[in-house]
Amino acid sequence: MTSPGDAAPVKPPPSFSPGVPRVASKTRYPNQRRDSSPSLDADLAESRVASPTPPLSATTSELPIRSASPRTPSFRSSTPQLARSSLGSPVDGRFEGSEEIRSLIIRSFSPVVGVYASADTDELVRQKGFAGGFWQLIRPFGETIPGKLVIRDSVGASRSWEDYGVRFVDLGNNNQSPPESSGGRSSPLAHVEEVLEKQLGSLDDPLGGSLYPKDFLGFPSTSPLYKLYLRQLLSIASATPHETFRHPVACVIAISSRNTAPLETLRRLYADTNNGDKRVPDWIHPEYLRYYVLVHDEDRDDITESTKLYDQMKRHFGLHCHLLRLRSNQCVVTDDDSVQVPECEWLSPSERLYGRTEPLVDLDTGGLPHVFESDVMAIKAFVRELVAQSVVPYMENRVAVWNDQVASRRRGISGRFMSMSRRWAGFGSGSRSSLTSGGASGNYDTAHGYYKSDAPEAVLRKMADFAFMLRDWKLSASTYELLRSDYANDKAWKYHAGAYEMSAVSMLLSPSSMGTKVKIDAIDQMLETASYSYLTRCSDAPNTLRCLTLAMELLKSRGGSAVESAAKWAMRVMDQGLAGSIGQGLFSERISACYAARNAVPGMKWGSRRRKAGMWSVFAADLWLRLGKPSLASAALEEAERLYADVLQGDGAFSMPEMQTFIDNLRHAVKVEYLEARGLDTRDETATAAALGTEETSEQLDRRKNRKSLVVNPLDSGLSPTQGMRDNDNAADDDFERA
Amino acid sequence: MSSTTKASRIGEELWKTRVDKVNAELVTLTYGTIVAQLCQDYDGNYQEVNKQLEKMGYNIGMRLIEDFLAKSNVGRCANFRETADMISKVGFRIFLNIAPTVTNWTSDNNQFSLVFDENPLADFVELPDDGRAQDELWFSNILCGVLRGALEMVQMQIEAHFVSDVLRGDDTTEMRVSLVRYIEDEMPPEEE
Amino acid sequence: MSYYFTILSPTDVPLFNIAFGTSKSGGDGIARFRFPDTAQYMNQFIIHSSLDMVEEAQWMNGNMYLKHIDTYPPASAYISAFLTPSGARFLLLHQPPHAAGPNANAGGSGGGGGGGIGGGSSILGGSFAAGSSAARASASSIAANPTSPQTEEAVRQFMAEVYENYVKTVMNPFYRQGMEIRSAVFRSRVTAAGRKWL
Repeated sequence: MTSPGDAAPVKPPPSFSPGVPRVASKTRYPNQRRDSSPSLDADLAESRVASPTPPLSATTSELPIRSASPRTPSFRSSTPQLARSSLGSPVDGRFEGSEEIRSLIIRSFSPVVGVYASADTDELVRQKGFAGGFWQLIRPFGETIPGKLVIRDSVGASRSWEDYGVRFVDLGNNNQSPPESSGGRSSPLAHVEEVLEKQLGSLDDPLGGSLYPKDFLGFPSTSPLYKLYLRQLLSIASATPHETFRHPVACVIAISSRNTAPLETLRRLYADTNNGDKRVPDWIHPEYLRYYVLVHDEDRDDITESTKLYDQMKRHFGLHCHLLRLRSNQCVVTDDDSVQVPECEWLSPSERLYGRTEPLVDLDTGGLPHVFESDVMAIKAFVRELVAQSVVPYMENRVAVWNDQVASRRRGISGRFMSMSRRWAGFGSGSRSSLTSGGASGNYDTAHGYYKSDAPEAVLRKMADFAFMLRDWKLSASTYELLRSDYANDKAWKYHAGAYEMSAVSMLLSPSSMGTKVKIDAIDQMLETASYSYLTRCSDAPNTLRCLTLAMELLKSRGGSAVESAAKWAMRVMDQGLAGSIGQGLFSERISACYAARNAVPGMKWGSRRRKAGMWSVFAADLWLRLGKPSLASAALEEAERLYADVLQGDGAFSMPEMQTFIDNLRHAVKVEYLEARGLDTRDETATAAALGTEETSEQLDRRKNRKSLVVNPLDSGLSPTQGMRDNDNAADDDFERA
Repeated sequence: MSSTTKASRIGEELWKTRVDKVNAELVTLTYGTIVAQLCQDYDGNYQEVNKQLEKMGYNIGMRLIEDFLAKSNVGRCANFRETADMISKVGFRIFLNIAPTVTNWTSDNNQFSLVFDENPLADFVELPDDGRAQDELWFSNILCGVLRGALEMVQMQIEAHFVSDVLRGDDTTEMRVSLVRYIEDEMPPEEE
Repeated sequence: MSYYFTILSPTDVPLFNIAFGTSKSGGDGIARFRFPDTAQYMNQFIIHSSLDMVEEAQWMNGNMYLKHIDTYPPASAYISAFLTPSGARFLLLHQPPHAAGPNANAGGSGGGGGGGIGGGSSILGGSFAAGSSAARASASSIAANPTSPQTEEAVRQFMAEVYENYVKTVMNPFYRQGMEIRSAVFRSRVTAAGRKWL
């Protein structure tokens, strides 16, 4: 990667937006980029930086059998593997964007692996320039496991994934639940908003409009800003009792070759995690995989000694061991084999905001620290081995065991009867006492609001979550379903909400339940219940938002009539005020995207939702303008035009006068603010007109007869834009004064 | 009044037995279209439109009287009052299935009014809201011409004009009919 | 309940617009939409966007009265549609009042703040948070529930009556097809139909 200043690409301004000559922007651009954090840049520029994870479709198309006839239905249904593979291939007519979002969502539910390193290990890594120690060094590498990863599901079918990853969390310094979770409930959402604000602040230069890259078809892909938002939203969660996604699945216990009493240290570290001060709370299952790592110092220590020690470790601790050979010298950019450490994709909002234990604060090194290529290779191999040979098999095994021991008992006839008789305890025995208990299992600790980790309800949830993280959504869906009534009986509302939420999400992810109307209705019902329990019963705004956002995205990716539901849930998010002001803008755009994803009935003019999509883009433009983001407004407006192009008559004008007036005013206001933001003398009509002229010719879509009027009218009115704006209060009464 | 009742009966009978019916909306739209077209052709000169409608009516009336006499088989009217009843109760009945009220006779029995409770020609019609049509256009003016043409064929020279029209916002639609003279032993005039 | 009734030609040209309020249960017949008066374009946006649904229903459903076909949840705006055989569309936007009480929505014009695009208020139709709770509260009373069978029936009657008058209006020889309907008579009849049924 080149240095950030160079990397910042010069994108043309949005074609709608009036622009200064591009030469001017080129000179201005790098200077303004300087002060923004390069890593955040990279985030937005991720479409240019090699994406760490190829889209799912790419994955599957490379698979030997599947690529043969990826769209032949008969093949798909013949074996489970093939059926599952259909997941990866986008359904005809939808563009890649939805797959990308889908992958993002799937990856956000990655298993958590704790990292607990001895002091000497952390010391070694600190020498390399990582203040956060061993955890900080390996963290980014966990997010994407190199190569394909094969996972077997509960019926024994295998499926390989190329976008698998794990989340490393630090057990050494940080507690499992970061302090933010104890703060105000809305604060994580406030953080998300702040991150966006910061991001926009650093990017809302005149070229901010290039936040909307177009793919080769001219369809706007999902805006990177929205992807950032989504990632932030999905990164909020910390370990909570009601779901186990953030509970450790495994723990890496690391010592270094410098350690003088290695085995004792390993034992002590283990003991810490088992019953010492790193012991997990009651509601986290205490049995999780321990993985022992010996970090060998290539620069200072003798490999034969380390190998000997490693053999010893294997004898003591079994197979879950790894010898990681790292150099302890600090690597600098100028070193021949220096490699920049990849950026963490999954930073929580507060990490992004406060740069806590983040390498990003060190601006001198150009943002991310560098390590030797050999180190990178070693860490990648280590992570791959950890995940492929230990974590995933461990999880597969746990799922199989729990499925056998707990779930099947519940699923069977007797299990149903048990659960029924529990509910109707008066049956036969006539026992009063169990009647008064209201059918509750008694496992739920109402005072503290959790199930102990060994209660069947908790184990089942963990099993479902494991299945979910192993991407066996069929199993997870059926398991969540089992749990829902239990939680309701116990009035464990957060668990209840979570079970409904993940039940719906699993169904939406599960390829076999391709959506019929009935299914969508059932899913809507689950989401209704989940959001009600989350928001009304538990006042848990972040989880409500997560639930509804997941629902929206996954319904959207289903296409067809599901997009109506998707849009409905997005509107619900806005309606309930879950999103902040930037979030509102993003959700407006998302609603538009949902509707735009609905295609017309083949060969007919009807069946699409172009008008709705256009309307929401206009609303988004209006919201952006209110927020003082004319470049975003301009992009949204351009999108609106594209969407409306199909439904408007040839002249591109709305037949409804007040609509037309509103849109004209909006265009005008956006234009004026846009020019203001660029510091262009808006009175200079010739320059503007010239700039506009070039825009005209660079226009790609030909169905834009209205473009001319849109761009030219405000200036043609005979007033200079600034004067026109003052005369026309409609234009920008709120933002102009501030600007 | 016996002549009135008699005329009514004749009219009803003829309507039931001798008249081929035609769809009212068709008539209405046909007539309405003619008027609208005239308004357009004369560029909103409503005086001229009124004149043209009257002239068209006159030419219709001269022909229609034959059909009327053949169908009704009524004899010569004794006086102008009887004529008025015949027009209202038989003529309008068989051609438009209405019977406007005969009223407002002058003392010399030479002038009367036909008050139309309903007017099939003007169903659905709203005059153009150009601010003049309301004051200038007599939408059903063709009827005046029809009466003039028909009565002229039976030796009565009359003059007919509308004095009010609900289309203009008046309470009633009223046509004033005046007997100018009986035409004695003259050659029928040329068609206008 | 506030109503915005519009007739669109087959090519989406508005032929007739009228806004009115309910006259039932003590209503004064004056429309009080959730957006400020300066944001009346919202009605048009919502109506316009519902044409997506109308077009679809038009081909999937043989009836003239299409019932409630679309909802704009942020402003609790419900759209009912009626198609004439000639392709004109009657669209009725109905919006339950903010709160159940008849006087509680007097602020309908208060949020405007005069100029500006949509004034100072949210473009999406007033306060979001208030919207949903009010909709829920008013759902209990049948008159204010836009999707109840009673409402469907009332709207159907209204549509039928307007249609009858519409036919007469377009039969006017002076009315040219596709022109805006400016007939005061028609307007008064629509108003009367609204008063009678809604």
